[in-house]
Amino acid sequence: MTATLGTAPSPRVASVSLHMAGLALLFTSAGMAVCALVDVAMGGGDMVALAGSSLVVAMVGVGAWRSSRVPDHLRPKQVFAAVSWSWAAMSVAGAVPFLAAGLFGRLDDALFESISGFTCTGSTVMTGEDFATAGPGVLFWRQMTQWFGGMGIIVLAVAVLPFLGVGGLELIKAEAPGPTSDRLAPRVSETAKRLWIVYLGFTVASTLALMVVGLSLYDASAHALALVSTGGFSPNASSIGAYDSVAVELVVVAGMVIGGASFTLHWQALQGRLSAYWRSSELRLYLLGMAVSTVAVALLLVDDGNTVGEATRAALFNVVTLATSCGFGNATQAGALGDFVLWVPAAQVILFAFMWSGGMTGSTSGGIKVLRVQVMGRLAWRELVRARRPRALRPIKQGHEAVAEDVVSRIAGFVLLYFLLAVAATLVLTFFGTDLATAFSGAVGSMGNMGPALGEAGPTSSFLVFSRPERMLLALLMIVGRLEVFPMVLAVVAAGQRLGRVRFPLGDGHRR
Amino acid sequence: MVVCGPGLVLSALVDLLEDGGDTAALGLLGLLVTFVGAAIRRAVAMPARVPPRVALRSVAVAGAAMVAVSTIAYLATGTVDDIGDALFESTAGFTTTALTVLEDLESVDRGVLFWRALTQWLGGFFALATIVAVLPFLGVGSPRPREASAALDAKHLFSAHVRHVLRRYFLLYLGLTGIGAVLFLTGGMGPFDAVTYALTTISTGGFGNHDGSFGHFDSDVLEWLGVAGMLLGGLSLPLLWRAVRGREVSALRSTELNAYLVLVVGATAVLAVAVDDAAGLEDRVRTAAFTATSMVSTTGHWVTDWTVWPFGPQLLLLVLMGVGAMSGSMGGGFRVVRALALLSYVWRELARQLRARSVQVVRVGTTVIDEDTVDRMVGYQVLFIGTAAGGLLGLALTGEDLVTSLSGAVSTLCTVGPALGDLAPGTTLVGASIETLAVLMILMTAGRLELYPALNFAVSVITWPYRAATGRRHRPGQDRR
Repeated sequence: MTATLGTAPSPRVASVSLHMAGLALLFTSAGMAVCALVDVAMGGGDMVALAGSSLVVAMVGVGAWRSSRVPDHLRPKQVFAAVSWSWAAMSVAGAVPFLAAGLFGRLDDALFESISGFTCTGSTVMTGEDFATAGPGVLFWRQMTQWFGGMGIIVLAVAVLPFLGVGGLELIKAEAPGPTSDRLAPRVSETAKRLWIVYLGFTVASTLALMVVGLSLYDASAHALALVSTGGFSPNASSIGAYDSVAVELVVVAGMVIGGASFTLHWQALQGRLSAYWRSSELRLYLLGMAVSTVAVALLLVDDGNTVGEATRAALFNVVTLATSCGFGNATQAGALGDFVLWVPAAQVILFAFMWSGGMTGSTSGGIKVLRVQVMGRLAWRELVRARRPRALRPIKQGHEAVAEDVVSRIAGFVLLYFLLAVAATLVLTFFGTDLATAFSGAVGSMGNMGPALGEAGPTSSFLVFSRPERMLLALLMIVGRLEVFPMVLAVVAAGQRLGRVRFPLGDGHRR
Repeated sequence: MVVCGPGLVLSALVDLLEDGGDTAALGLLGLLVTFVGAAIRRAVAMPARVPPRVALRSVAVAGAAMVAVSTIAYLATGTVDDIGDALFESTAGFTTTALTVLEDLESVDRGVLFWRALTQWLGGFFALATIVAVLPFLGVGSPRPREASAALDAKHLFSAHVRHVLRRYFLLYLGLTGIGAVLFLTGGMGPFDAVTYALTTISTGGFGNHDGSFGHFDSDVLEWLGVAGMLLGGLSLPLLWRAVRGREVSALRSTELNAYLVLVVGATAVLAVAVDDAAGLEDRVRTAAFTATSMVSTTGHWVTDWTVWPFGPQLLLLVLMGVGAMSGSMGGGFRVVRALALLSYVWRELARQLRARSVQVVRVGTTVIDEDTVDRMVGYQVLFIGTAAGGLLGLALTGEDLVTSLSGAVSTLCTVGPALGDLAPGTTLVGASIETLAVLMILMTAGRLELYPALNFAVSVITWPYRAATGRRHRPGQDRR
């Protein structure tokens, strides 16, 4: 990002990218400091490494933050760039403790884990042995990356991206809490404060709930961090399966469902307007989809020879974990019923559908989002009806209001771009030699920030089944998907345009 | 119900032709069907106005009638014992999909083999006629985009213009098939093989008279000729007509042609580099060219079992099927011109994200696509992906593994036939469960008829209880709260 000097007398560089990245690094550094304390409390040996990382990151962050300022006029392109660059900076910073504490010997592994964390994906390259030898502090940091990622996403998803109309998200703009001002900066800071209150409260509540069902303070808080952010990392090698407890699983399921729902709605509900939940057709579809699929998957599993209880438990947990893009697993070991790659194909296809759709808009979950799926479904239906009555004019409705055609068009553009990218990425992965099921689900899962995939990369496996270059591609997909596709692609296009190489070859009228 | 007469007459005529062949059963059936078809045609008059709904339905009925006739033919000749299998073979034939339940093709009666090839040839033209006559509103994908949203009435359906255009295309189609047959003959096939392979190649059907498809001949020349034939089958007939008459070809069509050729050549190059199962360079290029052309034109002939290839090339084949042939051709799939327009559309939406107020158009090459057509194309794409996803779930429900289900759904929806996994080229579906066959048949039919007639039927069925209950026409989208 080239920074240009502003006209104001201030000596600071007017770059919103640098400013935001600096701020993000400061947050990150504070998190590392907390982890150092956790390490001391738990008697681990990584205190120095974590504290040192915290210090280094803090210095860089302060440097970036103090040397820059937000320019007077923000253009969408700059905001896209700022968001992308902050994410990149955080991901690099997040890798520092992993390296310092010796969890990973290689930079690319540490980066993958960090990116997977900050994008709330939950795919890991840790082996079972790594889990056994890692100290409590660095594992807590791993959880923390997801929590920070979630914090960023929630603001992005509710305030920034809808404001910019990314992929038709302006649909939920009207519902966003906070001042509906035309200026982005005050809007973001106000909204962020409110959302973070909800987020923090939700984290504390989850920790308490998990402690009630029998987890230690460390385990409960570590899982709560990845739960509210729908991240899916766990300090245990076998994730939630390590507890083998129905009560724990139920608490986690409840947490995931809340985490995958719109935080805007949560805020409104906390204001006393509980009816907000029932008025949202997206929420209804979200819940209905999970309920119907749970029943369908359970039936398929029963048909496959499992008891009703076991089947329901496995179906509920795994449907919810993918429908919210969380990615926790409840398989106690490889080959247990929770390991969904061993399920009948039809059950896997249902899970695969959720890998595409993800949770609700305005949440920390990834994927295309229920709202867009809903609009696309209505678009398809309209197309069918039009074939029967060519002259009928029908708006697409969301709730009681007609959706503007250009918004529909943007949503369609988003979904198609998403689809094309997923297919292209799968093609690349298969050319590296990965089999179809693993490659397709790996690409879709990474873009949708799921965590586990199908095929070889199932819930009891890890992303080590992909080769190093493949993992870099998947990490890139995680960021692309996390930022709702458009900002990253546009950042690339914008950079190319500056170099004068990439033009919009198929459209025109956009260049002055 | 009304328009099924012509369809029956058509198939009857063909059956008549057939009785010059071998079996008494076929000949008798041919006569019978001719009679019934003619009777229906005489008994039923065209209504003055045909709403699109009815037109779509009649396409489905006409198709069903043809399939029924063919099913009876297979049963009557004793080629297939099971009615489900016979139905499948007929559907695969008329939808120009290269999936079969017949084993040991060399021992099958020649008359039946010829009839099989003929079903594909007829099916290919039936699909094109459907698009020209009934679905002109398909816009970008249809041969005549200017009439995109023209109201559909009986005048159009059987107008002199439509008849004229169809006659033209039919002549061209006939000519192409003749050329194909002559080429195959000179390439070293017997007369019978030459004609049947021409029928299934130009129609992008892909049935063969041998278990080894084109690989059976083990002849380099024939394989190259096969490439040429399939390439022709995937060409746009309107374009070809204008070219033959020495008229100028529209910019839209020539852009599409370029993209089509680039797609084939590019895929050939990639496959030739990435797959090294053949011996020499020429061998590799030929195998790659044959497979790539077979996929893009959605024919389904094969010379090698590509499921032993590395995963990358396998997936590439799946993508090629998905893109499909040119619009206005016998091939299926999403169609090249739509794929181009779609890319432009995605790019436009990206550009709009940066400058919300700028006005930008979707274009293919230099041709601007009007917004209404763009709208429909996007809707079509969503339906297409949705149907493929439904097929994936359906096949998985019948117990097929993930790769087979996914590739099978895409392949049949694009009317190719052979796919990956358990549907490797050369597989016959003998002994497959009736559920599997049913899902595949639905997909083929939907794909061959550009989704709409089949989905229209589905919509009618789904909304019927509602309509029956409320006693009024269902108006989707307006009754929801």
